Amino acid sequence: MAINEMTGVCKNYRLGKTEVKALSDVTVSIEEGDFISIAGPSGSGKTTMLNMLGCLDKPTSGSIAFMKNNINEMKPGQLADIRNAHIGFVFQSFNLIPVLTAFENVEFPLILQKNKNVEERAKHVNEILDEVGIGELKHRRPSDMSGGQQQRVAIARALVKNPKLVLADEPTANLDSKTGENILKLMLEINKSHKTTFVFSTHDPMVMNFAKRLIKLHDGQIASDEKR
Amino acid sequence: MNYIFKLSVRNVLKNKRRTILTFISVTLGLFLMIFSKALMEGVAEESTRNLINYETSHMKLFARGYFKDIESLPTNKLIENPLALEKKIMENKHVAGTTHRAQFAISMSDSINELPCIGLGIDIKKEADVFTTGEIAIDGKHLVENDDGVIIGKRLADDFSVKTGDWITITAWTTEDSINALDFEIKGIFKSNSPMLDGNVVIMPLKTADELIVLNGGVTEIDIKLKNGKKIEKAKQSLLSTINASGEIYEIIPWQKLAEDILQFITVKKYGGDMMGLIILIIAGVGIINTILMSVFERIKEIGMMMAMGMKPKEIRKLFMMEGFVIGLFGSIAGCVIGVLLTLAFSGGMDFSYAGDMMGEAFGVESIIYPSLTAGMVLAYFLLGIVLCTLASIYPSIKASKFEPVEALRK
Repeated sequence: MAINEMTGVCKNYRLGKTEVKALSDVTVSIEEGDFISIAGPSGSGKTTMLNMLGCLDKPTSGSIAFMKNNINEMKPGQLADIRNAHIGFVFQSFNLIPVLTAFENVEFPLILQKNKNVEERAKHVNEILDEVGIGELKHRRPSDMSGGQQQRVAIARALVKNPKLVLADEPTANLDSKTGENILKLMLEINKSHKTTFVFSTHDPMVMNFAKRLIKLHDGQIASDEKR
Repeated sequence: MNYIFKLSVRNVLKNKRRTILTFISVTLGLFLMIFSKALMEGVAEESTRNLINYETSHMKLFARGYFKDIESLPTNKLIENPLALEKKIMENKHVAGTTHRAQFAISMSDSINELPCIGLGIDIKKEADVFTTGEIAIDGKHLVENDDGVIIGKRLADDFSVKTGDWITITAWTTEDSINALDFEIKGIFKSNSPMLDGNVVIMPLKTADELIVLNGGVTEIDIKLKNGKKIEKAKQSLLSTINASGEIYEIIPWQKLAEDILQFITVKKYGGDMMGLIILIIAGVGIINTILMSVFERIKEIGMMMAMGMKPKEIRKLFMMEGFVIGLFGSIAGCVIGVLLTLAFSGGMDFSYAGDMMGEAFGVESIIYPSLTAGMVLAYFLLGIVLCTLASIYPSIKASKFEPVEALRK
């Protein structure tokens, strides 16, 4: 089943007086259980495409259907509800809330979902933290953790609400190659065990090798889309 | 709400130096407001007490029509046979004591200078039943029954450069429309801290006043002291129904009406203290706008991430407004605690004697001020601090909620 379908999507940005075409006539379908890498050089439109898939931005033209819902016609509040319920994000620079502990950071999306059962919440957060291998560090704040540990917390935070789709924007870019590889292995394991759909952007060939499907972007257009 | 509060407290504590500076300005503003309020309240209480004890009593009874002409101190609307009327008044359950006085316009002279003043004839025996003029500090001696002298206030004595034992001439219109002038020995010079009493009044026994302006046993007012000074309206109605049973002969004016001008003056002075604190609080408010705005711009990416996770603009607004609330809450607690502690520390009196006679002349009080606070006042200032700080955070909060998630994540 398609989670997200982009049809003829174009996205233009205004940069001063000039208009920049970030995406041009992109048509793609993200299927449930996919483990996709969006690859391409800087400026090829990877982040823009992830933003569209993640309901963070609307296209200039074309349509996007997230779980059959046309996001073009949705208001910001409705998009926020979709993101809250179905989409997890992992960022290049982790973007954890610095004043919260690892446990509290992972718990945060559940609180946003108005899950008021404290015990159930804690049980679920602890399970996820153990799954990503940082259960013992749950009381630490981001500043007391390494980059790899922080990215594991970010992955746990993205997974804690059992999302349909996890989007990761260059998740290994700020990590050394060994740690980056471990993070990708973790994501792959979760993809296999939970059938969670992952879409991540990269320009690192090592990272691309992990993908089960590789979409290459060039100048805002899909240059290739191959399953492996 | 709980997690927003927790998050706000931690964010506020994250940037300690900036928070402390904002926090201090809130605390300082509130503490200054509370303490100056306590001082002004102490001043207001004492000057009100002095007013009642020396000049107005709880209420005055006049012959009908006297009060509208009170400025000119008329002597053609006298209460005849006051003692009989007072006996009737004393039967009322609200009344603790009565006396009677005669006030009239005079001209005082030391044979070189001359000044218009107020002559105040008092019943020496009954005065203490209502007023405490007999307890005022005096150089010389207080008047006794059948005394043929007068006592005057220190300011008036200074104006004429006279002292106890000197003689003055008092000229006045009699009730028979003739002018009478008599010489009196100054038996004492008092200092009451009532600007009116100290600077304008010549006090004499009623018998002397009668000789001077021919009162024929009449007086201009009956002064009434109540058992409970808060039940003035009730007592007034109750008294009017008995004394005016046979027609509207008398009027009763409560002290608040008698001292309307002075009360307005006290209120203005009280607001003066409030204004100073309010200005500091407004400066603190600007500080809070700045602190939270800086916090917003430092955390744009964090805001973007929260929006990406599904946080709505109104929740972002709540988050930053809560930070203003948190600063306001802790700043107000500290401001109130310091303000109350300082008020308690000076509850034994704050000595302003270095200011000379300024306190007496400006406020009608002694040089020692007793700060006074009520729980209601502290609560009002506490809430004011919180509300102002929360209001100050509205603009930065709106700013934070207006970011587009994509733009914010790109920062």
